[in-house]
Amino acid sequence: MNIDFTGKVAIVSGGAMGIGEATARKLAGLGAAVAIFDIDHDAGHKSAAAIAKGGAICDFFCCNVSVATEVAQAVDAAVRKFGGIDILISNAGIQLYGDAVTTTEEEWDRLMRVNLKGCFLVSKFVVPHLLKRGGAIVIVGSVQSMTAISNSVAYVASKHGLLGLTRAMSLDYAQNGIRVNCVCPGAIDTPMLRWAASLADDPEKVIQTCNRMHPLGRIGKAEEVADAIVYLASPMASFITGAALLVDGGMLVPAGGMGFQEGGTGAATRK
Amino acid sequence: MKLQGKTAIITGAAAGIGAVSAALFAREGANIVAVDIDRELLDQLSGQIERAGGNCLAVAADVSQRNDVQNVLRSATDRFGRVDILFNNAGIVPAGKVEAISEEQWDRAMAINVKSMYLFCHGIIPKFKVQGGGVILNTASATALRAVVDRACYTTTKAAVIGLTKSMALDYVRDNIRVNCLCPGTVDTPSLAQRLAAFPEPAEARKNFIARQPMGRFGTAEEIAQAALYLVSPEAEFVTGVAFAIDGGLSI
Repeated sequence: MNIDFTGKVAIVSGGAMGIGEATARKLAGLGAAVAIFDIDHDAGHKSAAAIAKGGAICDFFCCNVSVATEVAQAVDAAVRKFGGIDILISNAGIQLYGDAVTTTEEEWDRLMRVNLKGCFLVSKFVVPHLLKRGGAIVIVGSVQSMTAISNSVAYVASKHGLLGLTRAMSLDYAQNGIRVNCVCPGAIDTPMLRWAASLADDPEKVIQTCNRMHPLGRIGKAEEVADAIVYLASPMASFITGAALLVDGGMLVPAGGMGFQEGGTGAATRK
Repeated sequence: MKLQGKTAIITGAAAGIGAVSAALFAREGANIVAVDIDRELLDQLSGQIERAGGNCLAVAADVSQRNDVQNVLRSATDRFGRVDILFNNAGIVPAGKVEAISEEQWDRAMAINVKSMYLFCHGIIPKFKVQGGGVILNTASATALRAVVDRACYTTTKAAVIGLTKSMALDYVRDNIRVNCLCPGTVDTPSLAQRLAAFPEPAEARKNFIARQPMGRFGTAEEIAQAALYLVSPEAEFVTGVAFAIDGGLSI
C-alpha cells in the first residue's frame, strides 16, 4: 500500500523544528495540506514556506498550545483555510532538567502547561472536527513515557501523562473512527537534543554517550521518527489504536534501562 | 508492629483509602500526620486514632498550594520531630472525554492529582537526605495501566504519577529514598459512592461498575491500605520505582 494523503488535512503542533518539521515535510510531500502550529513565529513561517516551495501545501498558524483561546483560533483558521481536519500530530513540547528538589514550581508549571495541557487543548479543539469525518491522532511521547532518566522529573511525568492521554482518547473515540497512537522516540538529533547537550560541560561527549545508549549505536534522525508518525497516521495503521510505538534504536531493550548510564543528557545536566 | 516509631504523612486522609491507611499505619505504631481539605472529617479520623491509643496530627490543607504544603511539613516536624513516610494519596476523579473537559477541570485535576505530589516531594526530600532516607508512596490508578472510557483527564494525571514515581525512584535510589506507587482498581470508597451518585441511575451504574470487575467485586479500602503498608514498611526495602497494581485483575 502506498501512502497518499492527497485531500487530507493535517495539523502538526510544534511543527517549526525538529521532529515536528520533519513530520510536516513528509506529510506535505505525501499530498496532505499541512497546518504548522508553533509558538516560534519566524521559524514557523520559514519552515512552512520551505515546505510549500516545492508545490506542497503548507501554512503556518502561530499559537501557544498552552493558551486555549490561541489554540481555538488557530484550529478555526486552519479549518477555514483547508476545509476540515483529518490528522493531528501533537508534537509540541519542551524539556527541562532537574529532580524533584531542584525543579522550581514555575518550571514544573510551565512544562506541564506546554507538554500536557498543550496536547489536551489541541485535542479538545481538533476532536470535534475529526468526529465529522474520522481521522487519526499521533501524540509524540518519548522513551520516557515508559521509563525514566535521572534529573528529568517534570519531563518524565509529562511524557508518562501523554501515554495515559493516548490510551484514554483511543478508547473514548474508538467507535468514532478516530485512532489515537503515541510514538516514543529515544534521543533524536534535533535542536532540542543539541540544546540539552549544550547545558553540559562537554556537549560532544553527551552526544557520544547518547549514541552508546542506543543498541543501534547512534542517536536517531528526525526523519526516522517522522516515518513512524506518518505510518501511524496513515491507512496502513488502520487497525492500530492506543499503541505506543518505540522508535528508540533498541534503547529500552537492555535490563536496567538507560537511567543509570553515565553521561546522558539527564546526568550531564545535573549541577 | 511494622512502623513502630515512624512518622507518616498521609494526604487525602479524611476518607476512603487515606483514612483506612491512616488507621492501619497508626495500629502498626506510626505517628500519623493526616492531611485533607475537609477539616471536619479529619478531626473525626484524628479522634478515632487517638482513642485507639495512636498519635495523629490533623492538618487541613489544599495540597495543590505550596504554602499549605509547607505548613503541613512544618507542623509535622514541630509535633513529631521528623517524617519517615510520605503517602501522597489525595486525588480527584474528573469525568469526561477530552472535548467535553473544561480547561478549569483540567487545571484543577493536574494541580490536585500531580502537582501536589511534586510539592510534597520537593519539600520533604531535602529532609529525607539529611536524615539518611525515607519512603514515598503515591496513589496512581489501574487506569494508568489500562484505560477506561470517559476518564481522559484522570488517566492522564495518574499516568503522570507513574512517571513522577519512576523518575524520583531513580533520582534518589542512592539516597536510601524509595519511591513507589499504587495502582488501585475500583475500590468501594466514599469517592466511588460520589461518582456513582452522579449517574442518572446510581444503582444501575453500581451494577455496571461491578460487572467490569474481573473478580466480580470492588476492592476494599482495607485491601489497598494493606498494600500501602507493605510498600512503606521495611519489608519492601528492595522495592523502588514500581507501579503496584492492586485491582482484582482489571489490568490483565
